[in-house]
Amino acid sequence: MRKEKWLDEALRQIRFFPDRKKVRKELEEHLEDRIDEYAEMLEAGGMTAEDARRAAEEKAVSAMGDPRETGRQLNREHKPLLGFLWIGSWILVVVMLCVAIGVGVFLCKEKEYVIQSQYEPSDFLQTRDSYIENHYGENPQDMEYNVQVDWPVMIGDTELTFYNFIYDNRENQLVVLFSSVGPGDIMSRFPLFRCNETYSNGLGGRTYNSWEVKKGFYEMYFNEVNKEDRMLTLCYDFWGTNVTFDVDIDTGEVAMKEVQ
Amino acid sequence: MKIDKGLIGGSTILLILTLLSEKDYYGYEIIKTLEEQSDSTFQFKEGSLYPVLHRMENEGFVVSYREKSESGKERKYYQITPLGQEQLAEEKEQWLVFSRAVNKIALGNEFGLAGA
Repeated sequence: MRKEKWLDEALRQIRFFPDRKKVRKELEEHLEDRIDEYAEMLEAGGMTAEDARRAAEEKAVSAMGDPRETGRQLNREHKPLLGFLWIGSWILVVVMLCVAIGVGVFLCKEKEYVIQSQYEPSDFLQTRDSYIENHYGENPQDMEYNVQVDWPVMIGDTELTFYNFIYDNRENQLVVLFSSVGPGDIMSRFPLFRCNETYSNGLGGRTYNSWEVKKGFYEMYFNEVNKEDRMLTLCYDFWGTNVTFDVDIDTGEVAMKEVQ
Repeated sequence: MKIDKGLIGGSTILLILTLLSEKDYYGYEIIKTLEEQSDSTFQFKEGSLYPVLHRMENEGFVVSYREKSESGKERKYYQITPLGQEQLAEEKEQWLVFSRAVNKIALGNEFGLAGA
């Protein structure tokens, strides 16, 4: 009998087909080792390589015994029910792991989001310097005035720090640089800023990616603020709290007027 | 002298575990070693070794892994487990009791292992 036929006969008895491949491999390796051994002996006895191999295969297969008997015994050790339960439990483990990893990644992302907005206000000082250097470094005269206040105000769980009030002569607008530090992003809370009874025309934070600006640093524009005003009254509603404060352009002093 | 297959059958696990307690073997090596160490007394249908090995694996006496053999080809090796070691001690004890009893009855006391 040829090697392949013996293996086919034996493996056919194993009903749990997922195991067939590796069982076949093991038995085939055994047969090959035997065939090599016998063939070597026969060749040493003067047989041609081809004849020796054929005779060795016959001898090795015969030494294996009845393929059906071996197959039946193997079948008893590879029970379909247990086998499929085993595979099923592994699939379950893999699925559970995937779910756990998914949840883990989701939670990490959530956490990352919070951490990103939890810089210290002092972390933004360099960002402010870069901003001014980038916008007005070559033409400082484009700034009608640049008042640095670095003034923090805590509202609830969020700390807003106002850094600079700059009047931009090119755009004819007031630019306010500030940061928001807290568990949430101020952009998602939509506070409405007013300055000297005019509303803010825009709130930006996206343009600084090129200099790796930390998330939480913003610029705010007021197009309708009068360039000649020497006192700026900034006011905003933030989660039901109204904050109003004055900034003196000439002295840089900040005075809280009211928190309601 | 060739020994009846049935008799070896009862002690196959003892023989295999004894070999594996020395080092890890793959199937073909087990058969070769048993052949050599018993001066070819033990000759059984080689195919029948694998159901025994697989049963021993199912019962936790051995674990298997694939590794390159000395010839450079990958083979499935069997390694004895602590449970297998326990089983080996038990099988040895059983064999001793069994062979002692057989010797006593069949051969008389002079060949028995009573004094061993």
